[in-house]
Amino acid sequence: MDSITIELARKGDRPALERLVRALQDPWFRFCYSQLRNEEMARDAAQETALRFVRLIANFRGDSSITTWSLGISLNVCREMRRKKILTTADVPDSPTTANGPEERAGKAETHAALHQAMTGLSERQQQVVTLRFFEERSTEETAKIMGCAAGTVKATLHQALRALKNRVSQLT
Amino acid sequence: MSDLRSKLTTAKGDYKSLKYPGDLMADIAAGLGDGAWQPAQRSPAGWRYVAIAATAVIGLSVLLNSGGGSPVQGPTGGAAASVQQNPVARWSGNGMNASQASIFGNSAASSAMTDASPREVIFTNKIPQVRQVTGPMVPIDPRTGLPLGGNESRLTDYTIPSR
Repeated sequence: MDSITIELARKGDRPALERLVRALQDPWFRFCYSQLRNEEMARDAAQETALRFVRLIANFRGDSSITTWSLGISLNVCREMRRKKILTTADVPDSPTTANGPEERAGKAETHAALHQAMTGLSERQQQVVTLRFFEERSTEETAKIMGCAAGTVKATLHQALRALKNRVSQLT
Repeated sequence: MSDLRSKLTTAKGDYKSLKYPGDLMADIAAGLGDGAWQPAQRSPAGWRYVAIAATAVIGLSVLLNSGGGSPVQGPTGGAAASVQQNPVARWSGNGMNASQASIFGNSAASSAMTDASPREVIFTNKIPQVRQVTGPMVPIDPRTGLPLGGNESRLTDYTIPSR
């Protein structure tokens, strides 16, 4: 995403906004899915993220990348959805739509079952840190910006999360 | 830990393959008019909150200052400045007179200055107290909170002439 498109979008240029939304829809959706574990809700969360993104982009100052900034919006949306008790801990995660075929997905499902189960056992913040650091490949500083906390907190939370994951995975496999 | 990291790396590929099912643009544009595409400016709501906060702070400070001290009950009651009988009318302490004390919100001290016979008002640092050393009781008008018996004229005795 080039800076010209971002600048145009900040000024309310609709084609530029559309380009940004299309470029960011997949990162938003997969992050929301990782937090909500439900495809329908992740879809709703991605839509809400897009609406807020359009309304708030004028406030984007360029301190971080547009993806990092917009993932902060996604995180808030997911937090609110959790807070509203839309999601309960008893919800069973469903299978998301992926680019891979069903056979490949079935094979991977078994491989990742333990990890997936271990992830759901983590706290909300630990899941966020693991997702952002490992899956979204965000730096510690970017993760801290998205989560609205200090970099040291991210490091400590990640350390605790990995330790908990390791224990749980070894128990489950 | 390396086993976990390899699992995480493998899972990352799966995570990255997740796609939004459909066109997000079409989904959000369908239920919205053109006006919704205008990015919101921070100013309207932001300044409203700033104005509310400033009003609240000013209101609170006025409330605290005005409620800080009740009118001094003459030589015997109340809690305000330290009042001592003195043959010479001497308003000392921090050098304020009644009007100034009132301006600075110390209504109790202000009242003490306009109260009864000439006294020395000593301003303590934090919580002033009224202390009558000697001197007669002075009746207080319950309506005005001011001393009775011709002391009303003292109200003007100690005020600064307006500029």
